[in-house]
Amino acid sequence: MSGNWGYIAAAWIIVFGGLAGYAIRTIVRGRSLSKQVPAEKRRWS
Amino acid sequence: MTTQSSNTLAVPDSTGSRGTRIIGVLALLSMAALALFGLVLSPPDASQGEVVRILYVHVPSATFAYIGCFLTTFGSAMYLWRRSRWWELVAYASAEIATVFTAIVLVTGMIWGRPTWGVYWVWDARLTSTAMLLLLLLGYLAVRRLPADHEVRTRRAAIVGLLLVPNVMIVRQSVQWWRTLHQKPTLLANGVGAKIEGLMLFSLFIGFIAIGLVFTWLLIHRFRLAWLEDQVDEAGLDVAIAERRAEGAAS
Repeated sequence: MSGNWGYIAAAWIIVFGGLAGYAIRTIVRGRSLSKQVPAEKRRWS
Repeated sequence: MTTQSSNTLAVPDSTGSRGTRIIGVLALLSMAALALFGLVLSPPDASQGEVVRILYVHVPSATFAYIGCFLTTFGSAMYLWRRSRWWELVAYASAEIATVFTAIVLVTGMIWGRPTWGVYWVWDARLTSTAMLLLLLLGYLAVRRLPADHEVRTRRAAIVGLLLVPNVMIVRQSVQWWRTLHQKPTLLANGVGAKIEGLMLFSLFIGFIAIGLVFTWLLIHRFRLAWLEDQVDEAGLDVAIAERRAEGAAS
């Protein structure tokens, strides 16, 4: 059973890494596009 | 200092806000708690052993993938019915996040299957229907991003979006309707089959909280990003129309 820790680590790294990667991509694109849109059109600001 | 630079100082150039920062901090804390309970404190399962730890991230990811699909279908229906741009953006943002979560579910499920079943993949009803769900989500995103008139592609994508919930129902019921290698529902089991309790149940509960917070945080940011994309598209279209008019006036 100890060999199964490799599978466990792979699954958790994929979940944490995948979500973190997607979150970073979303934030970076958001910052880039925010500079092109006037502040009054960004209602959440 | 100009007015524009004053605005830039007052308004952050991002999709973030006070609310998303609070949700983000809570999500990070709950993910840390999930790692602690899921990897350290919860005991191994009597039959699966340590591999059960994969399910603390796999099952909540699947649940929120389904929720993303429900939001996409509901948003698509609202767009087709009321022409609501807000709901169309909710559908689009949800679809992209559901795609990420469904991909995670498939990959973590395959990793769980290797030590449990001895194979990464079988053409089992649950696995196959989940793969079809991923293809449908990718289809929605592809149609939504086709180089066509905005109204045309959002309407076509919304029609594809309507198909997601029926597909989710097939995925959900696949273990009941057909004989499959995949186990039957554990949490909602009616007194039969595998049960979960104690620290294992609590770890799964933390998983739902953590993944739910991450889903919410992503949904808000992705919705705002979609809003920005629309604004930039419209601005680009306005510039193109103005250029054409200027060309027409000059000739």
